[in-house]
Amino acid sequence: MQSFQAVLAALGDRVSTPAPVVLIDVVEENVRRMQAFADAHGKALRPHVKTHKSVEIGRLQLDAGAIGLTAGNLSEAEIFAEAGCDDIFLAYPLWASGTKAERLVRLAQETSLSIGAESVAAIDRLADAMGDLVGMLGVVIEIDCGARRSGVRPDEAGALAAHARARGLVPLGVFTYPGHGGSVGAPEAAARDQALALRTAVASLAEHGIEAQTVSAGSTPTAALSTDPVITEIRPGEYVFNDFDNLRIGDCSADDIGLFVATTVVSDQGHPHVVVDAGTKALAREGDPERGYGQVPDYGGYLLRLNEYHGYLQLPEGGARPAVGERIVIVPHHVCPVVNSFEQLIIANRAGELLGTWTVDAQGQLN
Amino acid sequence: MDRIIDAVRQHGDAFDTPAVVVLAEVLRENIARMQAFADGHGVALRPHVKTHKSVDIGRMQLAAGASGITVSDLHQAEVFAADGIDDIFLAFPLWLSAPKAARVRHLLKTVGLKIGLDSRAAVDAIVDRGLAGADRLELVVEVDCGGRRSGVAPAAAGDLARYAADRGLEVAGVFTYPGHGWALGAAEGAAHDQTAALAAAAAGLREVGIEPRIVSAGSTPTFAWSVAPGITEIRPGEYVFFSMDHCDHGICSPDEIALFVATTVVSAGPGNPQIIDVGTMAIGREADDHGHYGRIAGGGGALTRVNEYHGFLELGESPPHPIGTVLPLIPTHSCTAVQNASELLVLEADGTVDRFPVQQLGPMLAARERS
Repeated sequence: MQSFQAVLAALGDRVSTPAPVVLIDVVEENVRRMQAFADAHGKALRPHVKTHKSVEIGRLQLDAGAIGLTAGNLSEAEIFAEAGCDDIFLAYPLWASGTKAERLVRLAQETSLSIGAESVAAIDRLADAMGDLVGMLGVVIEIDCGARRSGVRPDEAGALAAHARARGLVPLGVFTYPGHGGSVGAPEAAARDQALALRTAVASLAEHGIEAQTVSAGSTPTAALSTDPVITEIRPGEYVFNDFDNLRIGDCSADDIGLFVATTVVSDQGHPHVVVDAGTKALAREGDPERGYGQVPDYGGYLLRLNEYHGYLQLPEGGARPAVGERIVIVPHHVCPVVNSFEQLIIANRAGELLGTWTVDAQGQLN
Repeated sequence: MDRIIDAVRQHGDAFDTPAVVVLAEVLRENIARMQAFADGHGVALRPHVKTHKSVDIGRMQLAAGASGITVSDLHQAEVFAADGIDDIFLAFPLWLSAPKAARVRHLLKTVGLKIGLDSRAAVDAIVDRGLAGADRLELVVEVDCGGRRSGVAPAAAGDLARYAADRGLEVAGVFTYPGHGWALGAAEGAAHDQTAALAAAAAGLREVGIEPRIVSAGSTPTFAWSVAPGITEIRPGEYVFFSMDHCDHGICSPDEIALFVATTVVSAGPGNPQIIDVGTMAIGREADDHGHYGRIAGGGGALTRVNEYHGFLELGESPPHPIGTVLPLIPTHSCTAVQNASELLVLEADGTVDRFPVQQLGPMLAARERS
C-alpha cells in the first residue's frame, strides 16, 4: 500500500482524476496465489466476476487455472460468454422476467451454463423458459448457511434438486454464500456453518438419489477456511483487488491491495477537511460515519463525508495538509462498487509504469 | 405515485429487472413546471444534468426554455457539447491539469464555458496552462453559504475575483450550493443563508469594479426560496425525477416522482424480509433518516439492507409478495440509481418505451483523450 503514492506520482498528469488505478502485478500475484491455494487443497476455483466486471481480468483468472467463472446477473454471464468463457455459473436465484427466458436459451447454447435456484416456482419458470433445450441448463440448489438471505434450509435441498431433475433440468449440486462471515472476527464461525450446511445438503441430495458433483463455497473472507473435504469449489471475487475491508478482516495483507482511486484536492477553505474530486459517483458509499468512506493512508486521514462529486478528506490535527492541486490516493473500503462506477480501469504496475486501460465490460449492465 | 403503480401493473412483465424506468409524462410535467416557476420569477433556469446524465433529457430541458446546463465534471461537459449544447457551467472548482486544460481548450471551440473557482492556486493553474484571455472562457467564484464544502467566504469573493481579473481571466459572477438544506425542515433556512451569501459576494465583486452578470443559486430542495432579488439563475437537478426523500421532505408530491426501479421478488424464503433483485450495484447505499434505501410505491415494503445484488425488503404492514412479482421501488436518492445504469427506460402512457443512454464517468487517460 505504501507504494501507491509513488505510483501516482510516476503516472503524473497522464491520469485524469478521479480514476481507478490497478497495479496489475499485484493483481497477477493475487490471482496466482488464490489458484495455488485452491490447487493445493484440491478445490476448483470459480472466481466471481462482480468485483472486476472486466473480460481482461476474467481471462487472467481462467489462464491461471480457474475452472470457469461466477456471475451475479444474466448480463455479466452473457458478456463473459461472448468473450469466450465456456463454463459459467450464475450464482443467483434468477427469476426469468421480461426477455430473460429467450436470453437464457441463447446463452445456454453458447456456454456451459448453470444457475442457482431455491424455489419450486423459479425452477418451473427456468424449465418453461428452456423448453426443448431444458437438458442444457444445469441447476445448483442454493442453501442458506446463516446469512439469512436467499437459499433453502440444507435439509430441503434434495427435494428441490429432485424437482429440477423431474422437470428435465440437470441438478449439479449445491452452493451457499457465508455472508455472515464478512466482518472482523466472523469468518471462522461462518466457514464452519458453511461446511456443516453443505454436508447436510449433499446428504439430502443423496437421499433423493442425486450425487452432488458441485459443492460450491464463497467468498474472499472465508476462502482460506473453505477446505472441508465436502467442498469441491470456491467462488471468491474480491481477492483480485482486495480493499481496506479485506485488510481489516485479515484475509489480505496491505501489499496485496491492487487498486486505488486517484483523486485531486480541489478546495481548501481552512476547515478540518479539504475537498477532493471523488464522491459517491466514484466511490459509492461504503463504510460508516465512524471510519468514513475511504482511507487516505499518506495523510493518516479518511473521507469523513461524501457528496456526489465532492469528498471531505478529514485530516488529523497537526498533521500534514495537502495543497490544492495535489494528487491523493484513496484506498476503498469495498472495491466492487468503485469498479462499478467506472467504464475503464487504468492499468499500471508497482514500478509506476502506465500500461494502458482495460474496459469494465459489464459496468451499467444491471440485469 | 398512482401512475407508477399503474405502469408496473400494466407493463411490469415486460421489464428485465432490475431496470431504471422513467414515466415520460411525469418527466415532461416536471420539466415544464420548473421552467414555468423560473420564468414566473424572472430567473434563468440552468438545470444540473448530474441527475440524468442523458443528452435526450438535456435537450428536453433546453427546448422547454433552459438557458444552458450545469455539469459537475469535464466529461459531462464534453458529452453535452458533442450533442450541440453551447452554454455550459461546470459548477465545480476544477483543477486544471495539463490534459484537462487541453480538453477545455477543445471545448472552447464550440462552447461558452464557465468554470467554478475558489482559490488563487486554481487561478494560477489556469493562467499557467495558457488559458488567460481564452475566448468564451469565464470563471464563476464559488462562495460557501453554510455547507462548509468548497467556496470562499462571501466577504472574500471580491478579492479572489479581482485576483483572477488581474491575471487576465474573465469573471462572470458568483455561485453557491446550499448543501445544508437537505436535512428535514432545513431547506428554507439554508435558502435564506444562500440569499445573504450571494448578496454579500455580489457586493464584494462590485466593490472591486466587477459587475456580476451571474448570481447563481442551487438546488432542488431550496428552489422555491431561491428567487430573491439579485439572484439571476437557479441550478436544480433532481426535480426531473425527484425521489422518495424529496417526497418525505415535502419538496414534491408523490405524483411528481418520475423514476422507479423495476425489481423482482427472487426468493421464496419464508416471511419477512423478502429478497428482491436490487442491491448496491443498482442503487448504491443512499439511506434516509430511517435507514431505508428505497420504498415500494403504494406501501409494499421498505428496503432496509442491501448487498451487491440482493435487497432485503422489510414488509411492515404489507402482505408478502409472491415470488416473481415485479414491484416499483422508489429510491431514496435517484441520482445514484441513474449513475449505475447504462440506460433509462422511458415509458409512455401507451406502453411504448424509449431507451435513453446514460453517460458514465469518462475517459481518464490523457493518451486516450480527444485532441
